[in-house]
Amino acid sequence: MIMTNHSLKTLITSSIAAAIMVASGSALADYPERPITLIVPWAAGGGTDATARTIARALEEELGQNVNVVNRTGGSGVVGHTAILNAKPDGYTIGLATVEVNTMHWQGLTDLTYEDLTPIAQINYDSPGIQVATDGAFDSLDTLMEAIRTQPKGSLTASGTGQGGIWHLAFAGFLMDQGIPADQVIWVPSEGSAPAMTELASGGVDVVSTSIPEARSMIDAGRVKSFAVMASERLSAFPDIPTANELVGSDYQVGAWRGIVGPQGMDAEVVATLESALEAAYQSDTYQDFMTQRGFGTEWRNAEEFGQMMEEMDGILGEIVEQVGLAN
Amino acid sequence: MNGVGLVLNFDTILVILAASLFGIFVGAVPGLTATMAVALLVPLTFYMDTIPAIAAIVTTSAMAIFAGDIPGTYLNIPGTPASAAYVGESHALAKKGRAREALGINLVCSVFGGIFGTIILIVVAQSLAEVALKFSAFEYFWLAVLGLSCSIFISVGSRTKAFLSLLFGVLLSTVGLDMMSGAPRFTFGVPDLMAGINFIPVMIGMFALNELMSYYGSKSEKKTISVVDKDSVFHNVPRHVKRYWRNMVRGSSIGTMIGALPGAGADIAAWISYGVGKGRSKDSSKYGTGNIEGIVDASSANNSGISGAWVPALVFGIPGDSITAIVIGVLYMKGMNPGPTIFMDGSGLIYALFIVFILANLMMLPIGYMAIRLSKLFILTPSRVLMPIILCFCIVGAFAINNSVVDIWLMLIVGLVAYLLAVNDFPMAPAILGLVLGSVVENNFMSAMLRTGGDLTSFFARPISAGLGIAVILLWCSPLLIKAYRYQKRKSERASA
Amino acid sequence: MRDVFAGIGFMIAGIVTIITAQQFPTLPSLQYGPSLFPSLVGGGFCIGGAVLTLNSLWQRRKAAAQEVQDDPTLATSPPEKMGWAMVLPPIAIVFYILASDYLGAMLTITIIMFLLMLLRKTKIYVALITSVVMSSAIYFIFSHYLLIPLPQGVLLGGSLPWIS
Repeated sequence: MIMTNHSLKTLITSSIAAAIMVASGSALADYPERPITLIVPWAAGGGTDATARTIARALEEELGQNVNVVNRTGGSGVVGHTAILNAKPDGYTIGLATVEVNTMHWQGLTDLTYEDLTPIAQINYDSPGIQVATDGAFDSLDTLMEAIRTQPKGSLTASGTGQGGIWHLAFAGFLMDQGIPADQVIWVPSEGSAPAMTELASGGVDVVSTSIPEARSMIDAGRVKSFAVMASERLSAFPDIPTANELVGSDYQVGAWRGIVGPQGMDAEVVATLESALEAAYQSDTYQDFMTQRGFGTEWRNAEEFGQMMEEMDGILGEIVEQVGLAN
Repeated sequence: MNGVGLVLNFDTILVILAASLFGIFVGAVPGLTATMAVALLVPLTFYMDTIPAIAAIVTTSAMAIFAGDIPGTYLNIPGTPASAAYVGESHALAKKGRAREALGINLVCSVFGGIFGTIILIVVAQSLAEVALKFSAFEYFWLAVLGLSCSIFISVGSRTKAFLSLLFGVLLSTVGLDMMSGAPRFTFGVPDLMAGINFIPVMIGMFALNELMSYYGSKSEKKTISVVDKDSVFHNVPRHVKRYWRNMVRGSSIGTMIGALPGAGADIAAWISYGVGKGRSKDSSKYGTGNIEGIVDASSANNSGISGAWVPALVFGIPGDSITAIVIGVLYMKGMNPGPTIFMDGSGLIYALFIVFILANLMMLPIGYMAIRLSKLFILTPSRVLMPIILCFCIVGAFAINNSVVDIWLMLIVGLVAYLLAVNDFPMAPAILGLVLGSVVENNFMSAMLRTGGDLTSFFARPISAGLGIAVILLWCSPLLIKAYRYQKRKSERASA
Repeated sequence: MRDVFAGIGFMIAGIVTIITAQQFPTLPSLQYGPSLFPSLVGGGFCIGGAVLTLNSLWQRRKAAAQEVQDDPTLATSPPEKMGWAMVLPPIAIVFYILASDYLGAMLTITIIMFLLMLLRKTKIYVALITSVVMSSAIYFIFSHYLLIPLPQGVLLGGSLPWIS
């Protein structure tokens, strides 16, 4: 290939310009001027990963820079959240934090708390549902709760996630809210919602507590039914499932949130830029269509509200962890 | 049928072709594996349409699982836990100058197994899924124990050593957060270890690092494997197929059944099929010394297991193995929600998916053939150039699984321990299976005990569970039973004489 | 004879495993704690190790009784004499872990390949070309297409486009 003198010159000038731009560091006014990395503490292919990739794609359109998703999985989220914490607070490494930020430190798994992170925006919230097998012994939430109350402690079993996972705590909290001891039902830990669903269908456990979208395909298959969702109002994607409030008059709500955070000590301007870009990304069709199609709950909170929500949730979950006997 | 139209367009075919090459490449390079190949594809599928996205994953996984046997055969470095079951056979054949013959029959069995599994998937997916849903912690416990037992009974040499190697793997599987109690075990304060130990860096350490150290330890540049001109890929295939077609059908059936059980997957399938094959073979003493029959058993089973794993994934959205776990995520992302509705929504997507399966498996023949021919490179490249390249792929491959340096350390440490064990004639394959199945055994045992309040008899209370339990106990007692039988027979012969 | 040491090694490992496992927390709701399986594995190490040791000693005695002159275990599996160079791959891995943050993944694997090739008397230009081409290919494929954040290194100041 013959390169003309002219194009060679352009190439050299532009590469020098690029080198200078890189060397001069992040002049705040121009943020972002290079690709951003979004750390996801969960594995590629899962629900959190998909949410992250969708918001990243929408965010790219807003910021005009690539947003690359990097999975740092493991240790119930400890590894990935720690990686977010340890990143340089220059705005070029942010992360998608999940509710485990509010639970793992109570269980003594890590020292990391929500206070070590800079909240940017909350983009999702999923409420837990109470699922039973279609061919099981219970035909309504009332009969189930009655059985839990009257049968001796430990005769019923529930599953849905690992020991101390969010759905475990949400279910235990629901029992506590109903004036039932948190350990009245034995929690059978599982690796995520899918194995719990097979156990439910095969009669291995009596109840599964997970978000409704996680139970969706088994509900569609007619193997599982959902009695109630612990939310303030019915989910738009599942209008047939009543809220716990309608059935037993409980306005108890503990669920799984996902939000964008950064390491501590981020520049306020950078946070503001990201916050407004995220708000636009959140409103975008790309994001909204995806969430609707998956049945995931959408809930927006800006940086300040997100921080308050984490603080509030932290106290509630700490209390439940204590009651369940997992505090460490 | 509009499914055909969805597949037979230029883009999709191009994607299948590219994915085949990618799968073959990743599978054939020591240090890179099938699960990794699929995980790496996820970001790319995000930008594709539904059918090409699924096609890319199906093709890549099928190709990579087959291609993992290429470095296994030539370099004794298997690509997947499933191919660790018979790497001894194929490497022994390669030393006899029959590498291509071994890979040829392997390829044909892989294609057969894959298509067999797909046909089962098309015909009886829903009823097979019903059976799979009868399996609970009790049954999975016995199935995993059966898999582990097979790894000892099929091992060549000292059973004590195979047992210790298996336990080494099981010990590695206990590292990390305990699922039942949520307590960290053997993590030594390293957060990355809380996730547990991934089998990929362990496999790289056990097999690849081991081979590298042996090479640098010896002064000789001579290869133990040489190119033999009359060694042909397909020449002997008709003869082997004629002789072992029963093994192919049996292996594929076992593979599809076990693959369809969520949490069991192709790995257990290959080991059990190999074990069954050895148990039923007329010349089981030849197993482990380079026997085509063992390759037929196991390689039919692992590819059909991959198709089988799609049964619960499509019918109930429940992953059958680590690859379908990723696939379900992609299906959801593409608006193809797994569940019974996927079979009835009338869009033809499900038929398109079946066609992709068949196409991917058929594509394996020519591309696999090409790969086998090209794999001569492993022999033609001088070791002094090849080995450093393999080392660098191992380092990058170990890192790429979790983007974590801890995995490189893990590969190194496990590799050193494995080297010490290997020079003392400990077999490595049982350790891999121990690592993969150790947590399956433990979690299901604990989960079952938690539910029944520690009642051990509950493992025999359900019919399928009891059946599997009895099979395991019979397997354990089989050496004794065979001895007793022979003793009786001799006694009666003497009495009649 | 080596089996005797291997057996003893496993027994020690078994005891260490059991002792470590006793420190794991237990939950009142669980019948069997998280220490059960590690303890079983530790116990298995002890039993297996003991069997291996005793077996090996027994075979030695049997061999001695048959008045075989030379050591039978040595005769059956002659210990291959391994050169010092077998430590090179582990050293190369440690070098990568320590140096890649500074030098960057691409430069580090180039150096590893180049030196290892030279060591086994590869022609210098072959070694140079292969290592540069292969490391560029590895780096490019992994970071550009597969989006793996391989370390860029401080030395090159992030001037390589590792992701885009």
